[in-house]
Order: sequence, then structure tokens, then C-alpha cells
Amino acid sequence: MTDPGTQHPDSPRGLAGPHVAGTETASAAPPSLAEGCPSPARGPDGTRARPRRGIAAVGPRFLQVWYRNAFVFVKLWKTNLFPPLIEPYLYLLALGLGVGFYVSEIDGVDYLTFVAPGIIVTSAILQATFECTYGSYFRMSFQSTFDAIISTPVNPEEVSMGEICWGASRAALASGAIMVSLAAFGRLELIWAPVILALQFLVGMQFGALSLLITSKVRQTEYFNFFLSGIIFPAQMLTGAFFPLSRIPEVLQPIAWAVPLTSAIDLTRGIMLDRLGLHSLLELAYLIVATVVFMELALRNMRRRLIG
Amino acid sequence: MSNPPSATATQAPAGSAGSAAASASAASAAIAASAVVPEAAAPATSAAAIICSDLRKNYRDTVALAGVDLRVERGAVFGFLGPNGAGKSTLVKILTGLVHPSGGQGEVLGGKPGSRAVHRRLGYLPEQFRFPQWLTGRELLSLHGRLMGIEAEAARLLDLVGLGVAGDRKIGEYSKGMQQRLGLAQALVGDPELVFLDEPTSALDPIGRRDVRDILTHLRDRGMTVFLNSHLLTEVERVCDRLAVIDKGSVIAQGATEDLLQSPGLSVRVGELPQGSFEDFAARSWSEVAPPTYADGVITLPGVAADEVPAVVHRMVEAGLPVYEVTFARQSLEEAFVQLIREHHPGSDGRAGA
Repeated sequence: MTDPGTQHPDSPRGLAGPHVAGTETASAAPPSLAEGCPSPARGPDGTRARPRRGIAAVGPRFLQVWYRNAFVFVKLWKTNLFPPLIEPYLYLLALGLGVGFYVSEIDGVDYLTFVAPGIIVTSAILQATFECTYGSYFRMSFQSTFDAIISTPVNPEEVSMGEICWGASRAALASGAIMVSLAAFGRLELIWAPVILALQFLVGMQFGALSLLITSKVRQTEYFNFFLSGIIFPAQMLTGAFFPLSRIPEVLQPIAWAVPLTSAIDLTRGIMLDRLGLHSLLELAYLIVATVVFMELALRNMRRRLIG
Repeated sequence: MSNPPSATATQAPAGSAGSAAASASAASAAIAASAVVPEAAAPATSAAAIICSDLRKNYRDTVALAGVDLRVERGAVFGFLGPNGAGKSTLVKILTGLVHPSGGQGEVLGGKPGSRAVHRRLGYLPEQFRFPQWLTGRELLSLHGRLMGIEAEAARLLDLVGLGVAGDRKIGEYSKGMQQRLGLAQALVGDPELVFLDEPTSALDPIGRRDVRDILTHLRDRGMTVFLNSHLLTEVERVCDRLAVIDKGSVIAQGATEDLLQSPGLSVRVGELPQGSFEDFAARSWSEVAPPTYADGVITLPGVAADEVPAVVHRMVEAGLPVYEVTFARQSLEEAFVQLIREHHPGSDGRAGA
């Protein structure tokens, strides 16, 4: 910036005296004044270019939002890593070794082998869900972090994408932790580990996006209870994670298959038990489509929530 | 751009949350040594940093802004006042791109509010900003620099706000005042041309406030424009060149600070008046203007300008009035603020959240 003495020959005091409403009007806005209300820029052909919204508005700066969250997380790694590392082991212990003791075989395999994919996926969705509900809400409403970020060149869509990716990263982290122990128990072939991890990242993106969509709508954290108790926990229980879908009434099975989580669990189980087929491709496609839809909705609604 | 001498950093005791005095000296020294705004920056595209014309915002049936006209010149420290719910935060959020207006026009640094080009040249300290307590001050600035797409000069900024020696301590160990100063440093990452500060001094002790005042004055001297939203009227009065008052979504006054503060005139404490001396003085000297009044040993002369005071006192002495004490009273910003609100809304108590 140049020296103020030369750059601003008209000092602030050079303006007219006090302007009191009703006695003097403010300076007329120059013709070039940008419209405060949405003012689409014009493209080279003179037509109005629609501003990019949703996924199309995401640029590489979302990685900086992801990095910020990751940096803060790593600073407290002892506290932050404890729950995702311990909780899946408790599930493994309780379901695999505890319940598994009474279940000799299920779906052609022992119970621990059957339930392991379910534990991997449910651990992933819970991590992504909590990160993009309570975590994002606190950063948005209580810490004003998003306000500070959006005042930089980072746009609302990039903030949201950074949050979703961070939720997915935590999902993959939790899944990775449980996969280590499953490999130790001989229930996982390491060659498939990267594929399963990538799949859990996708599942994390999906539930992170869904959770952020909910976050864009709630005005108090208490409302998350409806989402968690009404959608997440039932989905966790009734989508084949802990028992075969064939055990639920036939009339409800189409509904269960409509929930993308069912496809995620079945696909993960298919990879781990070498039961992949054409249906696996359909499941993967469904997961991707559902993720993109949730993401688009989340980004658009978060923009509305963040900047009106 | 010079870095402050390292000696200044070592003057402030490390870890002393309450050591505002020591940090004040560090801050002042840092201010003197630091160049906050680069000498060469993006060319100005408009004479004004902010122009609002009939800017409006409705939240369903609630009118938050009813057509705001505002102009903030570049290089000014601009104070923005108003009661709670008057629309201050809404306007700041519109200008920083955090809220879309319902209508009207706005321009920030010659561009559209909220555009990426404007955000690159903007600093913002949100109200009630909370920091991750386990980060250090230096890490926070570094992270914010990454979001800006630059490498933050954390050391210089920390020195500037008097946190040079506390930069590597966790924010959770900072006092409220230190956290507020860190927020100020964060808003200055990237050497913005315009910085919006929402209540930057609310948690500071008097010495901390003085530090912030010094910093703001320095920023103005370097050509930076500061938009200050504050409840603390005394701070605004001391540091702002110009100010605007908003009430119920409309700007009811704006202009130079001293022009908004009306002078009630001269107040002279006198001894026992000789018989008829006051009447004689009042009749001979001041019949052409608002007449002086006498009550409880004090003669009040309305409408006396500052440069007239010596002559007035001379006349009083000549008239035989025993002058003990002369006070040239100026309306405080708080008084002016309450008066403005009352005039705008008769019957209001002028309760000022400012």
C-alpha cells in the first residue's frame, strides 16, 4: 500500500460533516458498484454466467480446511485416537468372542468373520457422523471458525468439502484400526486392506455429507438426537451389520436395501469373504451416486446456512 | 518490511497472562519497528474502502437492515455503533461476504463483497471467536495463513500484538486479553488492506485496550482501513476518525467523530458574585447569542468555541467575576450516542448495547 499521505489526498476528515439521516443523503453509488444482492457476472458472450454452486464450486482450497482439522486433531492425538482405537475392539470382543461363543456358524462362516465387516463399516459411519454433526456444529456455531475461514479466499463449499473429507478421514482411521486387529486374528487378508480402506473412506464421505446436511438444518445440538436415534442407530442395526438381512421380515428388506449402508456392509463383506459379483458393482455404483447426491445437498444447504 | 528487534520480544515475561504492562511495552516497541502493510500493494480501484447504498436485509418478516447508506474512506479507522439488534453484525457480515443482502448495493475495496478477490485483501476478527485451546499462537496464525494461501509472518504479527514471547505457548494458557490480541493478529494475516474487527477490545484490561488502540492507530498510519464494531464507546471515541450510528437497521448519523460530539460550551466555576456583576456581564457581552446562565456557583456559556475561551475569560475577569475554574466541556460519545438514539426514537431510554 502506498504512503497514506499520497494515496489518500482526501483524508477522512475531508468528507462532509456529520451525515444525519433525513438531512443528507449518502454519496451516490458509482455505476460500477457491485450489486449487493446476487449479481451474476457476465461471460465473454455477454450472457450471464451462473455462479458455481455445490460440488462444482469446490476448488483445491478445501484441502486447507482438511489440513486445519487434521492439524488440530493431531495436536491432541492421545485423546483423539483413544476412542476410535478402543471402541471397535470392544465391539470385536463383545460380538466376536462373546456372542460368537454361542453362535457356531452364520452365513457359512464363524460369527467373528461374519460380523467383522459390519464392525468395520459401523465404526466408519459413527466416526464420520459424529465429526460432521457435533464437530462441525461446534466449529460453525460456537467457535465462529467457519466465519473466520469464509472471510479468507476459501468459499463455503470448500469449507463443507473439507469437513466431509475430514469426517471420511476419521472414518478410514477407525476402520484401519480395527482392520489391524482383524489381520492379527487372521480374519483379513492384507492384500485387500487398501481396497477396504478406500471403501470406508467413501462410506465416510457419504455419512459425513449426510451428517453435514443435517447440521445445516439444526439450530441446537439437541436436534442431532433425532438424527442419531432415528436414522443412524437403526440403520446400524438393521442393515446386515450384525446379523443377515434374511432375518428381518421380507416386507422390510427392500427398505433395508434402499439404505446405502446396506450396500456398504454387503460390499465390504463381499471383499473380505471373497463373495464379489456383479451385484457388487451395482452396490458400489449405488454408494457413489448416494454419496454425490448427499454431498451436493450438503454443500448447497451449508452455503445457505453459512452465508444466507 | 522490518522485523522488530528481538530485544523487544524478550521484554515481555513469558507465561504471564496478566502481564499486560510488560506486553504493552513490547507491543509498542513492535509497533514502532514493524511495517504492517507493504509499501506496494494492489492498486486502489475506488477512493472508498466501503460504499453501501440502500443496502437491505430481511429475515422473513424481520427487517435487519432497512436501507443503509455508508461510505468509509481508505485509511480511516471507522467506528460502527448501535444498540443491540440494530443491525451492526448483519452489515459486517454482508460486507465480509458471510450474509447475502436482500437488496441494495455494496462495494468493498472496489469489488463485490464476498468475492474471492476481495477476501484476499480482507482481514476479519469475528465476534466471540474461539480458538482451539491446544494450538499455539504461532500455529494458529500459520494455519490461517494456509487458508489465505500464503505463509503467515507469525513472528512479526505476534510481536505486533505483544505476544512475541508467548507465541509458542498453548492458547489455552492465554488470558482472555491475550486471546483477543491473537485474534487481532489473525485478522492481520496477509497484510489486508481492510480489516473488520468485531469487538476487539471487549475482553481487554485498560492497558490491553491501550495496546489495541496503539495498534489500530499504527495500522491507520500505514494506510490500512479499519472497520471497528465495538460496544466500548470510549474506545471508539479515542481511536476512530469517523463513525456511524445505526439504529433499527438504518444509519441515523455518520461523520467525523468530533463533528458528532456537540459542544455544550464553557462551564465556569465562580466565587461569590458581586451584586449585579453577572447580570451586567450577561447583558453587555453575550446578548447576541444564547445567554449565559448561573446556577450553584457555575456560569454556563453555551455556544462558545474553543478559540473564544481566552477572550471570554478575560471579559469575565474584567467584569469583576471571581473566576475559580474554567472547563471547556465536550459531549462524550456516550452522551452523543444516547442523544442520537433518543432523538431517533422518542421515548427510548437510549439503552446502548452500542
